[in-house]
Amino acid sequence: MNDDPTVAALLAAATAARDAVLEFSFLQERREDYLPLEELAQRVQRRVVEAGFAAWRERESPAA
Amino acid sequence: MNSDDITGRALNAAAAAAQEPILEFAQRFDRREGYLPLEELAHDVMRQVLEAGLVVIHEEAQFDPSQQQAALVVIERMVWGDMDDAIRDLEICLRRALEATSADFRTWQDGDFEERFGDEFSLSDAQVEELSSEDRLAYVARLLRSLALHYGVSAEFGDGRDGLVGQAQPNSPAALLRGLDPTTAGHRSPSATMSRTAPARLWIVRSDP
Repeated sequence: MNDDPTVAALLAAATAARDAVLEFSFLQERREDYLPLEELAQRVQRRVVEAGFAAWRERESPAA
Repeated sequence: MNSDDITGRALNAAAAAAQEPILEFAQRFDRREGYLPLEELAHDVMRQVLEAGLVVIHEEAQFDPSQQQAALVVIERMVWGDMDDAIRDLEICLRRALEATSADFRTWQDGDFEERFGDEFSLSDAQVEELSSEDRLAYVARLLRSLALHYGVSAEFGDGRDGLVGQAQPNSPAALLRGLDPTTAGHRSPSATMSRTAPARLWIVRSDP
């Protein structure tokens, strides 16, 4: 089923969402950056869509 | 609805769902209630994204109950003794036609047909009528390979002469027809059900004596 572009998009989106939160966690621990959680939520939302569509486009037109 | 629409809907649902655990986390943080470690939040977000997206994919891509019922009615009315013979003969004919036109397909590939006509679906009736016998065979060879592609089997057989059409691609008419055959057990792969010793037999394994 991973050959399905929509499923591939969803997997990429889920991974991007997880990574965005982990990145936030890492920065918080090192106190390198402060991001309000509401902004984190928006950032994650944006990354879900961006990463998902990027993966989808890659599957739909691998030569592009 | 095409896959682009489904992907967009799935990602929008996933993006909306991703916010929920973070905002809930923020509220608990503001209220100084107990909250998850951020690593657990990250996995919660990932799970929410997957679940919300899969709900959309499932809703859009699968049969609803009434469609399932309609499909079952069609399947149950089939006379399967005739149907498995028909599917087998269809595949034998396809393979034989592909083999018989391999040289003609090279004529299509080496020729300037696509420059003259566009792709094989673009020829008008009048253009087909004007083709020489040799060019018409090349055109038929091209169509047969498109047929195999859309049916979901490979047109390349190697050196074997065992009567098989290539293995079915997932999500293809060939996979559907082979999967519907009631004499095959469960979800065995086509290669597992094919007899490579009997040229007249394809992938069908009969359960009757």
